[in-house]
Amino acid sequence: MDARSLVSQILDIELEMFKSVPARYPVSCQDDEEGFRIMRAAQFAVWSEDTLRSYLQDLEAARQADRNLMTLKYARMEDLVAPLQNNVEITELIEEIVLIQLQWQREMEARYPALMARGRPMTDDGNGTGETSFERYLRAELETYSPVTLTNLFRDIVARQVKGENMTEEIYEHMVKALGYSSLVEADENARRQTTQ
Amino acid sequence: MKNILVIGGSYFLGRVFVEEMAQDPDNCVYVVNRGNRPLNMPTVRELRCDRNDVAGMRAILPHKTWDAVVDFCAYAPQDVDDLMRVMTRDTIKHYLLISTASVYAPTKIRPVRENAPIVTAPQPALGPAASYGYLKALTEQTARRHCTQRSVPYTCLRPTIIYGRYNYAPRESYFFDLVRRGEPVVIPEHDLPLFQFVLVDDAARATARCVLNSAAYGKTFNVSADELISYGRLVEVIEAVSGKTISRRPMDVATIDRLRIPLPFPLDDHLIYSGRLLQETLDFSFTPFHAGMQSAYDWYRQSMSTTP
Repeated sequence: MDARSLVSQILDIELEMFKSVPARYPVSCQDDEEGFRIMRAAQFAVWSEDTLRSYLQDLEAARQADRNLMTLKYARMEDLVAPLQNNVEITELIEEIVLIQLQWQREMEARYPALMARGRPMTDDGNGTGETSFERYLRAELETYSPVTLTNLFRDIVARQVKGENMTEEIYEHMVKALGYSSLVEADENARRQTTQ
Repeated sequence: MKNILVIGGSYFLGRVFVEEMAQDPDNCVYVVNRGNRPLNMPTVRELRCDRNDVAGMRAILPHKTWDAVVDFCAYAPQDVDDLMRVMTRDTIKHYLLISTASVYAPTKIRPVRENAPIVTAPQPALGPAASYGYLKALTEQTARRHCTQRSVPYTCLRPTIIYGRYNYAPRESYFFDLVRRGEPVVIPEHDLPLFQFVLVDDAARATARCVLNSAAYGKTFNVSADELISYGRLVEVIEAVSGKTISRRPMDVATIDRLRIPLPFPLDDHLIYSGRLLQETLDFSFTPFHAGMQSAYDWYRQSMSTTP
């Protein structure tokens, strides 16, 4: 199965789970199927086939066990359930991934401030908005991945680091292009214009 | 004719480097070491002496203008001090020190670049290798100081895990032996940590490319291919190059430690370096890991068939 088919299957299962997240954990944009697909597809566009394959297996195994990974993610974001990973090696791995992604996110904020201002606040520390931070969201999502998927994702991430690339930038690039912009610069300029109007 | 003096050069990386340099008829290659493993290469002049025997070195080394002195076996500051005492009457046009990526202090900032902090004390956690990186770091400083004082261009190379022909350390051969005997291979249950390799031929070629290359003067280079390898990936590649099915036995790291299974690569931390400076400065590219491991395995099989 190639990357495109893997992403397509992942999106189908994720969407099914996303739509059935119970109202107790209200999820914004639950009805915006297209928006959901664009955001998630941009993320998966930069994953290796190994990572996509193992994540698809995670989703299929969860569905079979009647576990909704989206519900668990949102429940973890709000600290409503206990941590989903207990193995020290795996929790350390999650922290490493969070650290790298935060760094990339900061680089993006410096480069495309208007565009990034539209996203979540970076961390919980004093953001004062009451909105779930990027860091909290990311950590919760990573906890829903299996150790194999986390390991594969970590390899994808470190491979980018070694080449001096920013995976977050690639994700945003996919996203803004799917939204009709030609580049991140154009999307950032558009965001700036809208802010100053 | 370029006079190249190689200190060490009889075992692994040094030997491959000498082979590389000896191919060029414009090079006049001198090798000085204790003579335990003669090279017996017709165009290479082999001189026998312990590098720390200053009087002996003075006696055997011809006085020359050395276009390059390439030092493969300086493990402590004294090694460089002694060499420079011997060579006071010689002109050195370029001094190259083969150091190690072990000089870097532990860090979570990856990939480790050449300007990352280096160790400032021995690391007892490394057991028998506690002082290796620290002494190498001090050796680098000593070499740089001598070169600055003598106005000699200095280049330092820091290879990561070297593999390939003539490897006397039980690294890839540890796995090749298991495969040959049809024994299972223990690997960590999570396919971590990640580390990087450099094929010995690449490390030798990179060193050769630095020689008398002004772009390399005053520079320190990591010598590390980009590919991220784990135990799982390594076994996958060995399976492919050997054509044999390998039985894997996943085990948690604590059990591997408790059972003292001598896995030759790190178990508790990633070793990830940036080799970009070298690649960009020297327009250098590394051999893909699969191809490199194929050559290492072919050499291993050949050496096994010729071992009595």
